[in-house]
Amino acid sequence: MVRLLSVCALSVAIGAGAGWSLHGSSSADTNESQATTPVVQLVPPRPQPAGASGLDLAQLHAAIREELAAASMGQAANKQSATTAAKENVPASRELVAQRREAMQDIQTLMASGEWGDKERTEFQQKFAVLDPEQARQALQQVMKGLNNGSIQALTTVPL
Amino acid sequence: MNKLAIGLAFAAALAAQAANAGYHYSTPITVGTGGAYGGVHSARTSGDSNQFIGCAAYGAVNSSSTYVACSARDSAGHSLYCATYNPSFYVWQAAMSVNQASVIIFNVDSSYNCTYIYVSNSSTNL
Repeated sequence: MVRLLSVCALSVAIGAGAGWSLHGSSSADTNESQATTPVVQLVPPRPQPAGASGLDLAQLHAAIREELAAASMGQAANKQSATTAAKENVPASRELVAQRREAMQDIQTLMASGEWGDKERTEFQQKFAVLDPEQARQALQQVMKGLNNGSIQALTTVPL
Repeated sequence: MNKLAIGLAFAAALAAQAANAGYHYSTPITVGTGGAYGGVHSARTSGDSNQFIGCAAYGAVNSSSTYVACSARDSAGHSLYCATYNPSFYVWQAAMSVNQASVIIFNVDSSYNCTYIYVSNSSTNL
């Protein structure tokens, strides 16, 4: 009797297990089919009202254009400053240094003459072009000082 | 004959007056220690032979050094000169906008750098 009850219980258990496993696999199949089947959206997408997100299309385009313009300007400026810096960092040749020294001396001689006319201005400008930035600044200030304190007499209304 | 001459003279006077029509303001050159100002046309048409005012700009293809310079002298013979080495684009613009209708104001620092250049072009200056 006991043996019969055990067999029945075992049968019930096996049946319940099989039923449960079948139920589970059919649920998984259903989920899989839901995932692969394209879902048709019946509700049409509503257009975003302007300003709903704070930006409309025109504003967005304008912002992008500004960003692009700023970026390209920045690149150009960086390129230019890098080129200028590279030029200034190149050490002057011995010849150029000598040429600049001579130009400075010539400017001192021009100033020492005490008169500043068209001839002196023209010669100053030729020498000025050779000078390095610091020398050029210095030469310009010296001539200005001379003209204003009277040690150089201007013979022209446009001394520089 | 006399009437004709008088009539012609009157017509010439009217024509001359018409040519100078419009509001005019004369700005003789004034020079101080820290700056100078005055009108180009006023200086040019002044009764003395001292007054002048103007600006110049220098640039050369073989040099990266540039400058802008301004100068002025008043009727008493006081003069002021300034120059700025490698000035900003805006200083260049100001100096290069000078013409016969300009009134110029420029200031200098203790090293005679031009620290300020103002140019006003107007028919009233002519």
